[in-house]
Amino acid sequence: MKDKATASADIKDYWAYTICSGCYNLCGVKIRVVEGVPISIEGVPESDLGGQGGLCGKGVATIMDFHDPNRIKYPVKRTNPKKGLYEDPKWERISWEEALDTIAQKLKPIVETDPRKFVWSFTPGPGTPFKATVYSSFFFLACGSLNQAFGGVGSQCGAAAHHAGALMHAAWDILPDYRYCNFVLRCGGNEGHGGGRMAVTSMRQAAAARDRGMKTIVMDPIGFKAGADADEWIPILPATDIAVFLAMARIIVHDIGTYDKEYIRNRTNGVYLVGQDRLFVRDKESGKPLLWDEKDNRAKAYDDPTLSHPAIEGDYSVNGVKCHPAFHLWKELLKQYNAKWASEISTVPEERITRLAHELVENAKIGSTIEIGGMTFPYRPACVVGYKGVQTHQNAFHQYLAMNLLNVLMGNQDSPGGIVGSGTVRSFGHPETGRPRFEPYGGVDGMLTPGFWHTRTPWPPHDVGGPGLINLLDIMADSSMNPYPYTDDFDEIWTNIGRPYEVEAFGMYGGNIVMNIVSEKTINNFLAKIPFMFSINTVHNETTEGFADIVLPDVHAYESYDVASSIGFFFNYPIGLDKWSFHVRIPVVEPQDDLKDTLDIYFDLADRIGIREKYSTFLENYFSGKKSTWEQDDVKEAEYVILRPDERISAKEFTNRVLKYYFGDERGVEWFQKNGFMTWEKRPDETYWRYFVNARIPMFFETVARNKPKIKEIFESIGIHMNWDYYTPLISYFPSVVYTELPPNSEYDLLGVSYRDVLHTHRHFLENPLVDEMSASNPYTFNIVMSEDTAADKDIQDGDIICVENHWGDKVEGRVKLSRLIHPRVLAVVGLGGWAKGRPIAKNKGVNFNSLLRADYKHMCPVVGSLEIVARMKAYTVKRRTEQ
Amino acid sequence: MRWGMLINLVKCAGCYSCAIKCKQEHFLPPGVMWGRILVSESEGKLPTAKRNLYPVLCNHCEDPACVKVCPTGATQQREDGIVWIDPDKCMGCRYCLIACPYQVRSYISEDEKEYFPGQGLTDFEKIGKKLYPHQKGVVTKCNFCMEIIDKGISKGLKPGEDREATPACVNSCPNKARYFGDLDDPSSEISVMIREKKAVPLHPEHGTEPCVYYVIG
Repeated sequence: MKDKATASADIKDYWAYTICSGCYNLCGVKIRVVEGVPISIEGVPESDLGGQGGLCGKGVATIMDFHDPNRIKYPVKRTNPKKGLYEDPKWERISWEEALDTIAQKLKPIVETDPRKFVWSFTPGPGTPFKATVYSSFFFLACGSLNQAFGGVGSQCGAAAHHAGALMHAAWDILPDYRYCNFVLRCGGNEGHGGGRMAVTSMRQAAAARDRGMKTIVMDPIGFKAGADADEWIPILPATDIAVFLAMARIIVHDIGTYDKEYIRNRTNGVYLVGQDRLFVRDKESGKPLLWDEKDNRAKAYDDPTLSHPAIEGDYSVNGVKCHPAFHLWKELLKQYNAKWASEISTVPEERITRLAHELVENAKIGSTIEIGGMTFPYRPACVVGYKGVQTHQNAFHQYLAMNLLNVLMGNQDSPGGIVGSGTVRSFGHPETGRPRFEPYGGVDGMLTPGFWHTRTPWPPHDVGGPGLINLLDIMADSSMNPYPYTDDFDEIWTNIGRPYEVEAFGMYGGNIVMNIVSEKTINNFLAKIPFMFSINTVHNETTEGFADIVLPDVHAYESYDVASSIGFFFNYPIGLDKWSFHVRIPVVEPQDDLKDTLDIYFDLADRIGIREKYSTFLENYFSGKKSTWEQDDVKEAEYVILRPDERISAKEFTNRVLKYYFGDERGVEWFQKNGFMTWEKRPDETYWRYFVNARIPMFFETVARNKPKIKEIFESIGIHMNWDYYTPLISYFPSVVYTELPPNSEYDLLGVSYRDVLHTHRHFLENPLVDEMSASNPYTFNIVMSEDTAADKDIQDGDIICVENHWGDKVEGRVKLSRLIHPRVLAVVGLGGWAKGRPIAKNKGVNFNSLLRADYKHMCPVVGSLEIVARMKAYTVKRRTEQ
Repeated sequence: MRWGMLINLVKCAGCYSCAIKCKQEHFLPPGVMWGRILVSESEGKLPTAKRNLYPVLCNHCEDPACVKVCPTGATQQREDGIVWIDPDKCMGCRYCLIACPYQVRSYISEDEKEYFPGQGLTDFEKIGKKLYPHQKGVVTKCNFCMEIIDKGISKGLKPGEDREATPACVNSCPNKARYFGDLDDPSSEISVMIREKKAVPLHPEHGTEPCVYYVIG
């Protein structure tokens, strides 16, 4: 393989290394450039970040993204003053000077007087998740605004999953440890089959596991995706997994009686004593939660050095307070959740639920050990996993955590064969430099706290405050994302709050919020009123065309210096025992036309607004490892190792400095240009860190109970009347609103779900002609999938154009594809569709069920803020196939 | 020496990498695929009905139907089994297209097709015309990356073992579901795998003796 040489007119044909722009996996790739034109892309065989030489279809197709003539080539401004859906913005080209100056002139007074009036969003994708979450978020935070509104990942984002991931695994998300796993119950999600954050890595690992005999059972409303690769597909009604999980837990704890008691005893807060008020019994002096040591029969703090055998069950009394270990209370609660009950709710046969519980326990081999790399670990080759289909519902907090608690019962968390974090979260760093170095630890109340995190610190939850933010996240202490302000009740709630300010400016990095969150009409209501909006995008879309005043062109990932995508706070680090594999984005060709690198845009804007020092400080703290989360006021150390606040450097120089800081002075941009990437072996105690870190994980969510009175008081006062029963610290059954808002015999008997197709893990790829061609040849992708039997009942024939309507009168139309591999009550689409002029290939392809969603507090999980993304629908033919 | 391919459907996750990579490697025009993914559903009722997902390509049959019907000799078979088309000899009658029982041949139409219709050819498409031009009005199909194999062999490399000498679709699969090698050598990786995993070709009843095998699982 030829190196990429320094720029020279004689170099006609070379390969250059970078990172794929296709999705969050950020696979290491190399790209062939001929006469200055990128023409071919491959994976890197020697690396474990991605397909080990292979690359998925959309990754291969990214070369065509690069060449899309619809890419924005220069800054533009809107000359049509009207904003709204379907408007033609009538873009006019402007100079960078005018564009940046206009943006700065708008933002500067807001930043100086009341930065809350500046609302921002970003989209971590495709291919640029960390430009969004690192470079962009720090820019907006440096402006002083905490008013982040959902980005283009939209309503599907992991409000419950990331919160649970943090608390349970110090990780953004979870995956089976495919290398050793023998049994996976996969629910609601296609990770391992082309979807998910680690799309290609997990797909590769899952394929190898299947080949050696790993058994996969998929429990999902649809059976033509992950279910089709599985040993068995179990159809289930959407958002009813919670019943099955709780019934399985009941069978495991009460009937089978085999579960990892030692794990509960030593690694969870299931042993913390809980009083009648549902709060921990705490030491009077230290305030630490108390446990009951069965060895010498007395209460001790969790970090007492004499602690020997904490009780997981029993009736106790501490300082006159009657109390029980938390697990004892959950065990009692579980008694009511039997398999028959769960079957009636979920439509999964009672016998199958019972058998699932047995299969999980049999395969988990609780108590067994395995030796890896000279170290002994618990061996638990069975797990339960899921993502969107489990957590993106109104009952998210309890549903997603019920799933996690099954893994707690198996004791498989971060142990071989069980569940590992998506992105290894313990690192001793490169052998020569010891960087990057991070590991989780036991924090407040001895609870697991990530060593490297981004967005707001997940543990402990922040104090309840507000109201004052438009996203209500100051009030929702256990939530890091929710649909506000893109809701149908936002305006009313804002008035109830007293309209402390109005939004004057909106900044967006990437993304397409009009299409990706909820109904486009809801987004329109919010965006159309905002006087000034700017965004940074690679192509125009429904959002920029409808609402942006200024759009700055973003470089393509293959033209960019981007080190954030390498040190991306977890989920793109290699999984399990895969080698650490470090790649970096360095341009494979110089940026075309009138483009600026993303970080250079932010540096320039920061200068003009007067926030450069703050911005640089955020970047310094993150990349040096001092502090990676958004709350950085407590960083006192003033030794600058990468970037001093008064320095003015470029994106290229910043990249260079970070690389050298991590890997030594000889390994800057030049070294990576020549050598492409580096790998080093992962230590087993990095992957399977659980027993090397002194921390406990929650089975009992005490802060939820603790914060309830204040959250309830504030929300009730502003007209948000949520189901406050959700604020129980014990994981319990709650049905999603989608089953309670209509009677069971309603004519809106169908449930619409959106799923991730392997080629469309982002809406972005709809614009790619190679992906479009392949999608057109797939019977499902652009169509509405419906059960063959259900269609017969409704006189719907294969290929008809059908109308799908919700009970609020919203409608969408599309072609139906009849299937035997879908639950009879479910309709499924890949959330696509669109009308933007700037995306001609994408236009009118596919169907968007987001148009049928309602967003308001009733459709949101009261605790973590997940939106209910399933809606009740009815369907009927409007045009026969033969008439088209 | 007879080149063959094996596709392990247990490992395949239907990511379309093979089909798209082939298009990229050979600068195939819009609407033309050498490899494609066939998706359908089997008979049966929920939940035991199955999805069929088959990546398919030219099978480079031992007894190819296409070669028999070609009036100009454009379609021909090499010693090593690769069936290829000489575009200079092809007159576009498309008899072969119909004769192939696997329907894996395509016709390159006379119209100039752009990947972004009405917006001109991209730099990618323009370079493609120099690096791997396609004639119009002829039939085209997978050639087992004949040029890559031949170049690799001339350098002493082994197709199926050395990446640089191996068909693009095999290299591109992130799940390592595709294998390539010599079917005439019983000890080659592919021959061993066919036996051990009981791999089968598609529709053997057509009688053309295809050289692409599938692990059904």
